Amino acid sequence: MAWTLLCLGVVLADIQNIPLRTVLALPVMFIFPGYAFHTVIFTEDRLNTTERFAYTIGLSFSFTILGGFVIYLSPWTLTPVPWMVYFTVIIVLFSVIAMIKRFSVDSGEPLSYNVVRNGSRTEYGLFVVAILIIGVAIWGSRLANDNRPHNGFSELWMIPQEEQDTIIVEVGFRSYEQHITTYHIEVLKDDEILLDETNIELVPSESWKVEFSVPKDVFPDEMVARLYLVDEPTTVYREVNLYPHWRWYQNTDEVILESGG
Amino acid sequence: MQTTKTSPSYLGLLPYLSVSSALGLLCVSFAYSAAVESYTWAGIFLWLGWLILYIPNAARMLIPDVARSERIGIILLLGFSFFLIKAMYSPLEFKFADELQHWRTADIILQNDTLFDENFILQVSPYYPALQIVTTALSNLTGLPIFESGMIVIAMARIIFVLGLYLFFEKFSRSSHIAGIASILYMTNPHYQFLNAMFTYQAMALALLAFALFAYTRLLYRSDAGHKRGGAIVIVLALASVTVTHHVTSYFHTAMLMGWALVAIMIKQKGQKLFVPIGLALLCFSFLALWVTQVATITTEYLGESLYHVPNDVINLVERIQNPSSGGEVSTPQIPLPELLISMMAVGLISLGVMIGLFFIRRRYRKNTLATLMGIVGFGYYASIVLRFVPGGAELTGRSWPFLFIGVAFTLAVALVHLLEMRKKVWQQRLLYSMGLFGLIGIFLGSITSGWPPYWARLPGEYRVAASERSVDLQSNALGQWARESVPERTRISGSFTIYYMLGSYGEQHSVFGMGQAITSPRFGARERSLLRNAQVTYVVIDYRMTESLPKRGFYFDTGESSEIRENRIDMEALQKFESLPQTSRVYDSGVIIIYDIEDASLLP
Repeated sequence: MAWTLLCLGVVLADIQNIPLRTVLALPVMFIFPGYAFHTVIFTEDRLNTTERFAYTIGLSFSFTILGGFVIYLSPWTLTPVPWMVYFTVIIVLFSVIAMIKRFSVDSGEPLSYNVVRNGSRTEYGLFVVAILIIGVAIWGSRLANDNRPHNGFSELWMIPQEEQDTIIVEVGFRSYEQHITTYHIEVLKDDEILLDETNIELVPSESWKVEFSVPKDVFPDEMVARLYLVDEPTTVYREVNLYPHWRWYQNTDEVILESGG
Repeated sequence: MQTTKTSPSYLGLLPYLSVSSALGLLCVSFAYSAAVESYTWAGIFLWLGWLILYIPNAARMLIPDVARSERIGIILLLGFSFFLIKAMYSPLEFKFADELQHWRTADIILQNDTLFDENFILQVSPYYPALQIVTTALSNLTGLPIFESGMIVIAMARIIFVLGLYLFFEKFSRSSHIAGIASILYMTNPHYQFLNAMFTYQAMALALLAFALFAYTRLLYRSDAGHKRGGAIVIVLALASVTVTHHVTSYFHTAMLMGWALVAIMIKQKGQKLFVPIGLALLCFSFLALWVTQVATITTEYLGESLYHVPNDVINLVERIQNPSSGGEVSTPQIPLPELLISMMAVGLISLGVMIGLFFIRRRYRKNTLATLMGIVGFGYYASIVLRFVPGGAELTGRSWPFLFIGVAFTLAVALVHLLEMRKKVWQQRLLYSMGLFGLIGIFLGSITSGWPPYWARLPGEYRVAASERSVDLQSNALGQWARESVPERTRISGSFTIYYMLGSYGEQHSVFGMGQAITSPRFGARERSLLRNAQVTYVVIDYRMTESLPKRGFYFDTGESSEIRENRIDMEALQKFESLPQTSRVYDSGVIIIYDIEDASLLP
């Protein structure tokens, strides 16, 4: 219960520490609900360790699924606080009932059958070695994927967004090259230069963008954006263009589509 | 008062098996890393890793005098190791199409904080939201992204799956030996390693099914009133959980309970409480009927398509067997000859083993309801072999394996255990043991050659044309991220199979299937315009790498595309036709992937 209340406190305080929240939340979700509940319903029952473990995890799953529907049907939404309140309520409730039932069981506690064994150092050592090897295996696969070879590339885009009488045109590019890359971009509106910027340096995964706000009634016949690598100034590296959409002028006759194809 | 008992060697060889299994995993990890760097010998280490992982554990499990705790440790170790193999294949993001579908449902729930909102790339998924409920709950509480949360959920599901199945087998067979062997035999289900370890609703449903089966048998074999009341509550929770997690699993669940009830009525096992299986079957059916008719009404339409052609296809196959000269199409697996031989060997071993197992079940378990039921389910394996050769039957066979193998595994385990008991002389026992072990290994190898991923995607590596997860690379990931950030949500976009899933999931767009004809045709005529117009497609995504080779998976865009498209290399000029279309904007350029806005062009007369 104390652990659950601590987790509740962290969620209510909106502490954004993922490792801390993960360590606190995992037992709250996958162990405590199932454990507390099966202790309530099987107070006088003999369960071996494996069965307890199976009930603990299986019932925890079931209660989480149930919780999703409970919150969905309630006035709340599926957000951290309602979830944590739900888990707190069921864990505390089941724990209290389990404690009451346990104290009220007659003539001493029921027999509980434990197998107690002290493992040898060799056995524990072997388990530790196995865990370390598995850790290396997982780390190795992540590392290989992080550093997987790829042909570097860059993206260029030009996307319009219609807003009443204006078209917002977003022009941008992102680098997925192998190293820091320097770019030159030009944006034209019917051959007239709108933007000409050079020596834009991007590290891999970094992006650059700009927005143009163009009234519909003066939207050009064509907008073009060209991206160059500064190292190759005469070669167009990427190119995009934009024609006006007929639906921007749905109530006017300003655009006449030509047949073709 | 507490009694304690010290028990020597309750872990047995488990510590040593842990190290050997870890070394097997390390081998697999090395194979994956080498494959990413395009080393051709990577495959050797992959097979080596699998064998190092499976053989010692299988060998130990076959031995009769192994402690129960050790057997449980072995199945947990092996089951979780297989999950890690899949996790190491794609440790940074989901790559499999099925996972991307469910990622999107989880993403929608996190964005909208509610359930049942539409998912365009798997419309039925929001109506079976259990997987996403648990995943988004974890994500909400921890702050972890969907991928990490999903991996934790599936890892926990794998644990309960392995444990639940073992306890289920053990309860009615009353033998930890049979239960242990059945559990590791279940792991030779061709879908176990990857498909049932993916972030999919079936993976979670199977785990909940195993838990439910354990709960049923525990109720059945306990007579005290206290357990009955508690057990009944657990059962209601378990039943409901399976029902709201996955459609096919819930159907199998219901069918299995009905089968159990029927067998119980026929056999009248001594001490058997008939009301348990009958009550369970009725309760399960009620839950299912309620869910399908009141909430997940889309299910019938979704599944109906897969099942619609099967009866006719089976009739056609029977006719062709009776009259071979009638011709017609028979579906055969497209894999290299050595793997085909291994698969056939495995089929032969399973078929023989099931026959022997059925003999022993009839002889020694004829009054055991659940054992008999498992035998009947195992017998269904023969039907699945026939179905495999029906066009479209491969998918149905694949869908049935996770369920059929519950019966197959038990039946085979009965065969193995009772064969091993038959001979008393040491050399005979050793011979039988060796044969049993080789049989297990053969079936395990067959599960790999028959399973997913296919041979050309078994190792991660560089991009391949229309190769499912091998087509997911940095280019497609970048496209998905860009679409999410820059394109208005739910814009209708069409492209190849991989593009469909990337943009429909990570890209948050309304992906559209079925535009292969319009994209690959050399002309942009009335037919092409009509296709795109009727589908209301705004953007067409052209991946020029599609021209490099034929599709590995057998199709570029979707399973319904014509043979004319799938059997020929795509013509570069056909893709370039969009450059010269009037009013067609080129809105995205990454060098190999170009996106065209064809909304206006498709409206041309």
